[in-house]
Amino acid sequence: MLRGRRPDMILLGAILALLGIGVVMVYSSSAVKGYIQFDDPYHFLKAEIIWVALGLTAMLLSFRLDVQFLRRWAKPALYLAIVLLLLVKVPGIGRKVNGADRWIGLGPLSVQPSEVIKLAMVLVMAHIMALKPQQIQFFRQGLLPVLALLGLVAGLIMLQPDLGTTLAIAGTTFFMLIAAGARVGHLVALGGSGLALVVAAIAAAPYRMRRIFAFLDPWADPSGKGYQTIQALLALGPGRLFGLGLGQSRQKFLYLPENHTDFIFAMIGEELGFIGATLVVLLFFLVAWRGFRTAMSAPDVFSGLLAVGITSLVSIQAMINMGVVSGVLPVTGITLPFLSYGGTSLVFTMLAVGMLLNISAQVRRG
Amino acid sequence: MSPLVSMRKRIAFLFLCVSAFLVVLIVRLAVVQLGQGQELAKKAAETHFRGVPVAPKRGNIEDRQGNVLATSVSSETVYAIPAEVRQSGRTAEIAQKLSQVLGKSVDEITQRITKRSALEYVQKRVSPEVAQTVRALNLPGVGITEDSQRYYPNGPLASHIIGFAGIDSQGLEGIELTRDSELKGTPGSVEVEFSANGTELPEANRLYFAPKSGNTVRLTIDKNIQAFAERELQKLMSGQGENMNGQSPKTASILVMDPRTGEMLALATLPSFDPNHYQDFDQATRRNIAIQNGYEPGSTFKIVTLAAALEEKKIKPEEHYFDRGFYTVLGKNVRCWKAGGHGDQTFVQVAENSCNPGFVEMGQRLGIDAFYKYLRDFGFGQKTGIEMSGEALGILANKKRATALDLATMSIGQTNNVTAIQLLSAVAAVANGGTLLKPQLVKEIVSPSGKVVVPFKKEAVRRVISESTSKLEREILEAVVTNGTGRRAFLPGYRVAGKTGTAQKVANGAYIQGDYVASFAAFAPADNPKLAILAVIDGVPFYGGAVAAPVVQAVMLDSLKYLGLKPSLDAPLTPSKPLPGLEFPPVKKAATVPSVLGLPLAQAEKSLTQAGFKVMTEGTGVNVVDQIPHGDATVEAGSTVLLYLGQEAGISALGPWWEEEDEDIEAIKALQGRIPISAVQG
Repeated sequence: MLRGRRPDMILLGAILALLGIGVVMVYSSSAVKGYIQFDDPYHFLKAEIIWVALGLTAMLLSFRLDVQFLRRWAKPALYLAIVLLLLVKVPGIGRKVNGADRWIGLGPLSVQPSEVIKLAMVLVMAHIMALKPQQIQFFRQGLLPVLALLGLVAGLIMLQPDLGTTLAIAGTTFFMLIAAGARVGHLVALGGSGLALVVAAIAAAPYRMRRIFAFLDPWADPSGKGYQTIQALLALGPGRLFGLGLGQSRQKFLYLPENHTDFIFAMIGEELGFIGATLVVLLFFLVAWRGFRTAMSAPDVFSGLLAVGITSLVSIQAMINMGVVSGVLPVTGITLPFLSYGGTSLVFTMLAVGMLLNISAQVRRG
Repeated sequence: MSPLVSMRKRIAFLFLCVSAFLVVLIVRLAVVQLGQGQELAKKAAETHFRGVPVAPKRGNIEDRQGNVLATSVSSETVYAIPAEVRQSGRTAEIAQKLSQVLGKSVDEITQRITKRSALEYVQKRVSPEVAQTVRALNLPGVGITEDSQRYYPNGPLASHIIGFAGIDSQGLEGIELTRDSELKGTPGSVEVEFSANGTELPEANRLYFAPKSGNTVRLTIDKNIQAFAERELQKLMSGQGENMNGQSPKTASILVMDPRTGEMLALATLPSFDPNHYQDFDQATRRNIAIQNGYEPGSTFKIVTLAAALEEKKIKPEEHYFDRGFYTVLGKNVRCWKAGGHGDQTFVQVAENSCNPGFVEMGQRLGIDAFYKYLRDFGFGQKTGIEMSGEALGILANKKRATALDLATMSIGQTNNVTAIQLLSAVAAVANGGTLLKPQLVKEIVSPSGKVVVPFKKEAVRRVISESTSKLEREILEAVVTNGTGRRAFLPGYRVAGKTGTAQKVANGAYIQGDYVASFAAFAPADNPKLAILAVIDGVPFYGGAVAAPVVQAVMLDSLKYLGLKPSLDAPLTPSKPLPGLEFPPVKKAATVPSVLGLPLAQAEKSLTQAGFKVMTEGTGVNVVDQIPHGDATVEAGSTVLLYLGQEAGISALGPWWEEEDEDIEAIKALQGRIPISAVQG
């Protein structure tokens, strides 16, 4: 690529393949909705293409940026993200979607600050953990600042509330702590208390509680709490081995809500079958493999932790999303990286993988 | 260990964790998509497909020979899917266009096509042209589906038994109602894929599930015997009944049963209705009076009294009984119809003469307990269980309060109220060797492929009298026809057994004078009965035997011949004691009555005489104002046509045309002041 640097081509290939599948499936899934809501079956496809173009631009941009430059701008980026996060609560700027304040309007554009903060957190966490790599083994000097920051940001996000993003950030931070060399005892305690927090968060909000039970037995309340899980299963099941064929989804006819965003994996399973769904899983496996491989052979600790963070962020979101769709995890609003319909999520994911590709281009080959 | 080296190990661990989860995911996908795929696909189809029902073909109703009495012809129905209509946003336009084609108001159509339901019928039973026009309009949310319409090819024939089915092919009356579950079949459907907001999918899959036709119900009724019976009823109703003098009864029924099996071969009732247009007939017309109405049977009931007395050995056939002309019970005289009485007779002669005091004697000898036992055993006061809704129980006098006088009147068929089907079943029991059978209308159920699903099963209720009593009574009742009061039903060459009856009618809780129910019960051949017939004619100014016996005679003769029963060599060819004036008409010939309405009398007489008819006039006047039978009626050649000549003409001149002597009338006259049992108990 530029300046003769070559990124990990397998990683790039997997990303572009996922992106390609995403564009096709977003169109196939959203045509009905676009036709009914906007009289235009191409409505969402057009927007998606713009978002993909923005995303590719973001990827190229971050691929070219110096990693040390990124490190310098990590903290300011986090401050900016926190400000944005607070802005969603400001009337007139924040927009309410599905009962949560997740968006801020910038003219015709909507930005999801939670997407911004995910990347900012990865950068800052990599920065902090890379300052004095040995310190992470100590609770007060190493672990506590990380946990304090995580607690603050997680608290802000839960104001929206947005459990999916909180889980993604917490999970990513946990993965980075593992990679950074935190003590096993600390990690076990942390994992335990994290799990306790999740349980507490779920128990505190009745709607999450209901969602949990719904996922365990969706058929108990097929038109209410179990609706989304059931509709996802009713998309995946009929797909069988080879799928109903591209564009042949039945569930997209307004049976499955959010079918072009959070539930696009169900559409893939319905139209492309077990083979298509498994292919997507394998592409994420490739991303994880090449991403973690990049991290292992990164030139410095910061780059390595950054690569771990980005790979973990993408992988964890993919796992939660596909887990939700296939009914092994309770319904949590989280997008499927590269595949879900556009928006801030796609642009920032592309920005992140641009950095990952950048690091992969610097690995010592041999 | 360098941080980078330990980091690599830990990153490898992370990669392992992620990989493990992805493997779990793939396994889960395999379970959902490959393992449960079929089941989930079925569930998904259930939510995606919406059906337009296709009506099954309703099974036929046939007579015992397989002649079709009721069938279904397909018709087309215009339906709307309101969700699709609303979705199209062209509701007003659709309603407008449909209104033009279907001839319904725009408001009514708008209301239907916007109703909150999955599917709405806009118009049932449209003509093929209308269906084609609607198809050509290609309106969103409007379609045509096949439906079936009931058709009764024989019109009113056996209409009271068949009943009819409504606009949704649902059985409403008669066998159509009682066997609805057999006839209706299972609906099929055309399933079309719909989106969650209720519109049909583009290039939607369509699945056709064929409806399953209903079974055929084959009746015990024989179309031909039914037709013989209905022909006789028509003759009565059109004022051509023998000894009816141009009068029409109010209602009449003829029931024909095979006494060996309980199968009803005919069950005819007039007035009747055309089930093809059942809406045009009122409830009273559709009433099956032979089953739903009770009446006082009169002398026909003496068959039961005789059977009980013989079975209980209270009388011997050759035992002598002296009739003084009346029988005094509790200070009241039950008179014999013959002035001065029959004098010394055997009990066989008592039966032949239908001698009232003789039958009262039998009743008194039996006593109240034994008499009631036989009433119950023969099935009176209980439903026979014939397959018709609304069967009447009949009303028996309260046993606890019954007096010797009640016993006397019950012995000769007065007082108690029975249904025609009860009486015929009792007569059949006497005829068949002594077993009361459940009268049945359905012979068998046949599947669409022609296989008999439910065969006929004779149902014996109980043995009432012994074989020998039955044989004895058959002989006595044959003597009644050959030598006695039943001679009007005599058929040369056939051994017919039977009994006449006349009963007073009841209205508003009191007996009506001069308005009778005439009946005749008969079976043949007397030595091995294959047919049992009962005719009940309600609303005649004349006495029973003269009116009802010829009707039974005609149905009996035609049916015996139709069933291929040859005249028996040992049967008498003439009755032993011909009634004065009783003739056996030669071979009957049909002729059409010319209409002479409005013609001057002389011209009318000439025209009728030329056509071979005899003429009688009524009233005074120049021109004919009415005639009976009416023009174009088909009657027996050489019969009499009554011409009315003026407004003042009445029916006063009818008197001399019937015999004064009727076995029941004297008893009725002697017992005036009675209160009908239906008024006491009902």
